Amino acid sequence: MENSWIKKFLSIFSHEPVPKKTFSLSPSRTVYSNTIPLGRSKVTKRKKSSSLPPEKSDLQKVLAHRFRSRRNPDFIIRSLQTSWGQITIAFYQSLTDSNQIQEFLIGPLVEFTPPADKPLCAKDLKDQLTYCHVVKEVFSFDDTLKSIITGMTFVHIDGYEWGLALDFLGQHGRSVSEPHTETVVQGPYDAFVEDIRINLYLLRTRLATPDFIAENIPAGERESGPINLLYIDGLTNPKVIREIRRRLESIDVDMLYNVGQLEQFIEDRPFSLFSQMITSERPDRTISFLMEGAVAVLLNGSPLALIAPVTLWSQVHSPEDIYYRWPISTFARLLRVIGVLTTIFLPAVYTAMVVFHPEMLPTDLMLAIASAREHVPFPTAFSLLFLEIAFDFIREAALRVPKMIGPTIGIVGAIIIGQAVVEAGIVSPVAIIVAAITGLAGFSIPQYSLVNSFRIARLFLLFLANFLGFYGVLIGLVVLVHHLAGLKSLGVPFLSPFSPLRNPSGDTFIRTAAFSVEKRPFFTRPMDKFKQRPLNRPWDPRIPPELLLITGDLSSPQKKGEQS
Amino acid sequence: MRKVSCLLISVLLLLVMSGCSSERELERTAFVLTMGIDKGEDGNLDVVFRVAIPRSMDIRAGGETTTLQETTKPITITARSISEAISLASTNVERKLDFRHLRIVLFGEELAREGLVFHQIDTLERNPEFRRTTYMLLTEGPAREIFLSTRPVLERSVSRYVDGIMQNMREQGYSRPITLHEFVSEIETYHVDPVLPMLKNNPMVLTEKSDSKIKPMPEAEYKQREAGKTEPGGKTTESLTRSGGNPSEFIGIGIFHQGKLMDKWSGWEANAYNLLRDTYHRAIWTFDDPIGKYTYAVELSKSRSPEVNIHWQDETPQISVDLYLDGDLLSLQSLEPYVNPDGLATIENNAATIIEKEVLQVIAKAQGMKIDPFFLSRYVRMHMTYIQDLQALNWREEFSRAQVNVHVNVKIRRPGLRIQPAKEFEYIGGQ
Amino acid sequence: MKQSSQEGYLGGIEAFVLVSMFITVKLFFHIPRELSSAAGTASWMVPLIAFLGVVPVFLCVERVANRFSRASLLSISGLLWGRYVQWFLGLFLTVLLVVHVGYQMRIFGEFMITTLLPNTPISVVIISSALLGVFLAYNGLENLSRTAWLLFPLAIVVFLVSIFLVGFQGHIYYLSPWLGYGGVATIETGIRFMGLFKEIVLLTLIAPLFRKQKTFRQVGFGSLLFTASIYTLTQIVLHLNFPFPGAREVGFPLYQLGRLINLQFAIQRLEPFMVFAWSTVTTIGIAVGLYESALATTQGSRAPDFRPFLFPLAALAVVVAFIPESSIEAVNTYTYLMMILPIPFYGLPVFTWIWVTLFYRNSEELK
Repeated sequence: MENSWIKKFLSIFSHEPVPKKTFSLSPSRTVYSNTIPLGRSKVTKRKKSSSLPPEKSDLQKVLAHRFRSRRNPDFIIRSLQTSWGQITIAFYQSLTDSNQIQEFLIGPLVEFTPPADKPLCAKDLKDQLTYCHVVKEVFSFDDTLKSIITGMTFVHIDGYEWGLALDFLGQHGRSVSEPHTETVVQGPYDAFVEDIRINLYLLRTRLATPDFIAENIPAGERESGPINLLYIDGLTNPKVIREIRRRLESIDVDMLYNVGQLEQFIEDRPFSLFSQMITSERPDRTISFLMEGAVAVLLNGSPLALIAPVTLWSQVHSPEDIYYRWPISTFARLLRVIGVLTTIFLPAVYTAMVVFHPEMLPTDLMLAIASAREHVPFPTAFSLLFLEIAFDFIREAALRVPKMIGPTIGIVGAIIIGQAVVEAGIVSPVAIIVAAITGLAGFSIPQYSLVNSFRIARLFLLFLANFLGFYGVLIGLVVLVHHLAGLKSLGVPFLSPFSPLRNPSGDTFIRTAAFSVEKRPFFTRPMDKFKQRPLNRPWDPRIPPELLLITGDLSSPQKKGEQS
Repeated sequence: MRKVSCLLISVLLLLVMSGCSSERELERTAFVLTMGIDKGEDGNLDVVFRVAIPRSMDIRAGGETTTLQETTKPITITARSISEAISLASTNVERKLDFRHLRIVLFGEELAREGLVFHQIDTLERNPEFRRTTYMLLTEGPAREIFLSTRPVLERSVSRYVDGIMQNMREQGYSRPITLHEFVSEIETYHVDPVLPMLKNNPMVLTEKSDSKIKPMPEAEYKQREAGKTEPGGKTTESLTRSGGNPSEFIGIGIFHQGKLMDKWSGWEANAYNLLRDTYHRAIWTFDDPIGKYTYAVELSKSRSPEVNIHWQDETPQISVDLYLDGDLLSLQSLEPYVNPDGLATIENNAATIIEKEVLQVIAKAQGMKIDPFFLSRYVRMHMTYIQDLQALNWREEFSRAQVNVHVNVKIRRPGLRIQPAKEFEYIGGQ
Repeated sequence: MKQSSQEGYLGGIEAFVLVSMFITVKLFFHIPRELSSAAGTASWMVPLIAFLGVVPVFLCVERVANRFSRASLLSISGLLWGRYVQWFLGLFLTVLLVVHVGYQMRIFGEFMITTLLPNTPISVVIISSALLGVFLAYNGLENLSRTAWLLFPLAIVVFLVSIFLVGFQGHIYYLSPWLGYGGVATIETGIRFMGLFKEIVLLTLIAPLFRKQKTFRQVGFGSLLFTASIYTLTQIVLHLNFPFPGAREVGFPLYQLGRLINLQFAIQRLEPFMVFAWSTVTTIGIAVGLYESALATTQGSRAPDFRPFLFPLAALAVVVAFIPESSIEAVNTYTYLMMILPIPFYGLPVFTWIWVTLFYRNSEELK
């Protein structure tokens, strides 16, 4: 007993008992567990679903109360008296097409004769309503509510404990138009719209396979329209699907307005500067990611698809790259990589060079810069910051002003920044060149969210460079690289396949000829590794005949057919 | 997250509180482009800084400034050391003197004669603002005088002026451009004596100077001054006969031994020195024609590194040097039809003999002074195994006793755009 | 003792780069000068001889790791000699590593002050590099090794470009006399400088992170060979440009070499950029050093996580960094450390291997 304090003291250094995990070498990975209770039903407190009252008056009372029909004239409850029973119809006037209801619902109902030998069941009635294709049987009050608020028309026959929900949706929002942010020169000119059904139409017309699944996932208590999880069954790795489904199902919020908001709920590192998913408004781009083994999420009311897992490199790629021949797209990609480096580092490196290390510049250039700076009262970093902010003002203004006067903003901005500022002696002409090149290089990146991330990184680096010169740039670079290397997009390392290094295919920095990229990227772990036949140009005389023999192309049926 | 933000805030505080101190905007810095050091009175140094005026380089000013004098300003300060001179200069220059763009350092002859050059070099090596790639020059007479009188022919930018001069020096071989690094390396290395390129004022051109402009002298005066000068330019250490242009001439080398300037060698001797030191690149040589009258000129470049063999025979080192040159024919004043195998061989041999003679003369001169600026000992150390042997070698003594044998191989590869020289048709008589 | 599969793993190439960077940190400091001073013109042989000397040591490390299916050395010592020995060894290693990292940070600070930031207080550089090290080490070695791998192309390209640009300016005769102070003297110097590769002890602590024994072996030998060739290349180029007696007086030799490059076009001087690229290696090295010392504490005390130790140890290292009164004192102590540290760092695995071969029999129980 007397030496218990010794034991206590020693126990600080020797931690007993030793758990299964003796020490943690890489704590960034957490244990994957399927048993975490994240299901909505367990989190949300819900009233138990009640069944439909069979009495017509009861039902009308309950519905009128729930939808506040007196204050809310948009909601309509109609009673119909037919030869075979009392019918109640409830719908939102704004969401439905009254002509269709009149023609395809009320008409057949009036003419309907119930079977005499047995009680009426829902199926009989359904079979009779031949003009409507989406008909659901509804048995509970909750389902009734849900079907009405999503725009269905509810039909109930007095005395029965079931109802029918029919789809007589009105107009379908705006029609398909050209993409606004991801414009291309060559390639399709259609983009997603707000209505999820049109979006699915755009996708399904391109990807005509029964394996293309659009899974409906409910989100939130107030049902802001469905989330659709898109993937290709048999190609996308089930683990990826399970993971994103798990994340989507854990969301329980009032309202999701846009996939940008949805992204924050499901991305791996929400506090990161960089978006770890891609939002795209182009159906062709979405399809190409799906074909690489990624999953996409569509949200009703949002004209964007959210795609994951992706890498940083795919954010630098433009959908156009695959439409051009390989030398052009390779050049464009290299240009964009240079653009990325320029937009992040140029202001910082310029500041570090001019303020800390003028010996790097050739003497005459240095003297020219110095002479330009003679009239300028502000420090280099400050003038760059000033220009950066001015540049952002122009950008914001060009976004906000009415389209009619939009082009003038650019001209006015250019004149203000380019001419007046220099003549007023606020910044030097060289600083303007630096700021302009930086801004332009930034917009060579196709992914808009990435441009914004880089802009913040650039300011951070500029700040460091102003205080510590190249040492500051070094700190910024290492922090940036470390952060990027630690990011994961749905469990996939963000800089894959370079870090960790794992057989980079010819489709990251450069783009080789389309027929030579045979495999899908490995990092999504697709179930089917190859995306094309190993030999797609068997007619090419440069293909060695041995290869044809191995791949069996010599004995292909076409060849035989030609010979015979 | 809280930890990360703590980290960020502390980094920010750290930077804002104490960073920023190495920062200096360009317009708050005075860049010294060239520097001269002279021996002053009573152990002092006269240090001249040439400070660049950035405003004069403004492109929008549109070439108003045309001369070096308008783009730079010289400041002379007397102090006990270079560092003191820098600190004293800050009392009257409103910006901080910065030496990171320093191109060239001139050392006055007097400083070199008294063996004080080596003592100034330590500052240049120690201070990170000075670079080891700065060029060094030895001036004939005080450096300050040359500093003030120099008038580049074309350039108004000091850096390009210096770079161009050094490039010419490398290509014409009348001198050897030396950087601080090379000079220090030669001081430190065993058994080699360092050299510095020479810079001198041409007295003829200097008299043409009035109001900081060079006004070429009238023809009659030129003829008068020209009279009596028979030696070709560059053969002796005397200045060239010329008028107009830059009063400064970059020709010849100064030889140091034990920290003191021993001798000044002419342009021709510098050429021979370059051949032996393996710093020769290319030069235009003019030789007397074998027929006795006229000259011919060839541009010779180094085709191979020199081959030197050193062995001892009865305590006497035998040095045999093989030099390999090849080049183009530039002129044939004598109009002799040399452009055929035999004729070319004649002038090649002639050239080789003359070069051999010049090289041997330079070697003999060095042997007489018991110095080895050619670093011939490098061929000895290439055969050595241990540092102790190298330290035990008394090379300068051995070299002064050595029997030197020089063999030059000259090969003329191309005759230029003309084959045999043009000759007036001589009527011999019809048959 | 088998590691749970939930831990992060080190890829082969990433680990190779990480260990190589950790070893080559010294290269950018004063070490080339020390080599020159010790071996004269033959200093380029010293890293090669030291490499040959370290190979048997690494073989011991590899054998021990193989025997215990890549458990860490401290866990093995705990298994062999008990918990208190493990605790003591952990503390011992931690102290040594913290002192080592502290001196590295100090010299890095001196390097930065001399080269890039002449008027900045050294505390700014030291504290910022310590904070950066903590930030880098905090997310574990997997992330750190990936960072190292991404920065590697920048560092190696700039290093090779500078080395070759300078190398072609040099003269081959400055490398003679060929054997320096003598063959035996050079070999002796090589043995004394075995501490060039002392950071290889890192592998004994991070062994559980490797997937396969083969990768472990390749990383060890590969990084030893790579760094030895880097050191050799640097020494050769140093001597080509700085003749023998001068080379031992050059402050920060690699930086001085970089300063000899004079490009006439576009960018006049490269050395701030070179320092920039080289310093990525140093920052990674400091981060690995901090991580390693925290790991030694963790494994010694059998704590579940290394992260709580990271910040206090970094603070200690900063304290150590401020101990030397002058730059020269720091540099000399660091050289002394490089001579002394190999004794425990190499001695421990070798002793463990001898103990295991002689006295340890029941290896079946481990599995």
